[in-house]
Amino acid sequence: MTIAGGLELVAWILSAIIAGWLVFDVVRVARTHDEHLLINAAELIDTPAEPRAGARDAEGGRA
Amino acid sequence: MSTAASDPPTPGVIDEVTTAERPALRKVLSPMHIWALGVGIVLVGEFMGWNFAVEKGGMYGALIAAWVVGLLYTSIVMINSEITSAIPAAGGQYAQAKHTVGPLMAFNVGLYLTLAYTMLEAANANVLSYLLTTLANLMGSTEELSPYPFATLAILALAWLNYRGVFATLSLNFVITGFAFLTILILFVGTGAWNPAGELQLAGLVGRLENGLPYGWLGVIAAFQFGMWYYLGIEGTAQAAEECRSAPRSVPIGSMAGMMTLIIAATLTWYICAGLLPWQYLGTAITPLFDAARVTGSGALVVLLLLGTLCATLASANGCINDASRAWFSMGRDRYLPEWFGAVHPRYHTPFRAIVFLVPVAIAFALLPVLLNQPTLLATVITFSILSGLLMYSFMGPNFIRFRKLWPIGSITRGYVLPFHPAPAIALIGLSGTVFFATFLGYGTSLLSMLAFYFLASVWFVLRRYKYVRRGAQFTADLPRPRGY
Repeated sequence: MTIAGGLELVAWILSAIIAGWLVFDVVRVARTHDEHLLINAAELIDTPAEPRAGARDAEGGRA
Repeated sequence: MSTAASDPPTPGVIDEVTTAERPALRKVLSPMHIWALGVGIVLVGEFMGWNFAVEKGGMYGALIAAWVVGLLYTSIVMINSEITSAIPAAGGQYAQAKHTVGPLMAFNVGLYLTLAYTMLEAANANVLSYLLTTLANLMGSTEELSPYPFATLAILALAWLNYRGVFATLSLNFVITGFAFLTILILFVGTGAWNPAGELQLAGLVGRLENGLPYGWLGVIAAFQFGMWYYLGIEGTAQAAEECRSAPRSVPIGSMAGMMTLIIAATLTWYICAGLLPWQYLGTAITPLFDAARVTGSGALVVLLLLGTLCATLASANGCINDASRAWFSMGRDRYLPEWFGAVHPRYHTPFRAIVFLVPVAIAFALLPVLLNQPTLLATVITFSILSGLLMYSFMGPNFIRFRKLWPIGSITRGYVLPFHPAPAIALIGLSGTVFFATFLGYGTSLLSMLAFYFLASVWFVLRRYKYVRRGAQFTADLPRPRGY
């Protein structure tokens, strides 16, 4: 194997390790923490507008 | 689903948020980091890209473009400093649009930001293998490195760094950006550029106007689109406002120091390259500053400038990941996109899902030009990035005028007050229009395609996404609500 080939192999291996770690950590956090606490949404500071019928249906459907 | 609030702390992860409090972005940044973010994204434009302005307008055309477009960006930075000091939120211009205009404008601005930075990141990763091959050749190797593994590794490694924390990310950016800027100064000193009897040959510019302006004033206007390379991305400093210890202090100081650095770097770069390289070559060169160093014949300068180019490229990609992820994250937490993207990591306090989601997007844009054997696709990717930025600039002028109408001077506390209002906003509107015209001359089809893309994205938002937006929760800034909001 040439030096360039070796460097490329090392780059691929490192890439795979980093990608694996990232995916693993994203999944780990999702499994060990309450989803509602992770979301950094702004608190409602006034009364929210009444959702439209379509949105209500969609949210209901997902639930 | 487990509830972290009731679970005992896990050994080894004691600093992870395990109580019922929501994790938030960590406020750890100082003006130094803001400088590193802004200049880091941009400085690569001094090492490559700006010189295409020479092809369009000649040497003087490129210099006029550097200074006139510099005026455009100075207006942007000053406008940004005032608004961001009052609305210090991740998402930067997206958060501004949300407060001053409304959801549809904010969605578009958020999309401009995300795509502009992601595509710039992809372009940076794409040229990395070329730079590494050049470095290997300097070290005596004759082999060519494949672009696939190094572009992929660069994007993933920088994404990992961003994932682990903003402080380390931007501290690293400060070091490598500072080094890259230093190499430009060293080249200036190394060539004795202040000495009329030194290495620089500026005589070709003197005399007839055609020497410096081969295509006349139309060429100068055409050069404006590449003059943007000197500064494109400095407005990204606003993205880090929510993570500053004191945004009203850090953002104005860091951004304006960054703008001054860039104007100095742009002028020095032009001056050195004009004196060392013939304009016909300079207009098509890939790495002009590195080529200028090669002309000097100094081995040390050659190695330094190549390392400077490499560091500038990495700093740009690093800053782009930071900014694109903040824009995407902000849209997620406001429900402009699925709320899943609005999560903050309980341990690292970063928008981790937005960072990870944008990795494959950036890798795809970086590798597609190579995979499809279409080098012109890279130019299209870069053009899309520039045009997205340009669309945002055309929003910022009117946005500032509206901001001052909604919150006049004296009605709120500002960390920085833009002087001579409305002159900078009007200058920004006029200059943005001129650069749009210049871009239309060179990339008319791309410009129209991009406008069509954003129009379709807006239609999607209105029909499919707007119903999820909590309209009552859009006003998140610590400001009095204007009448009728």
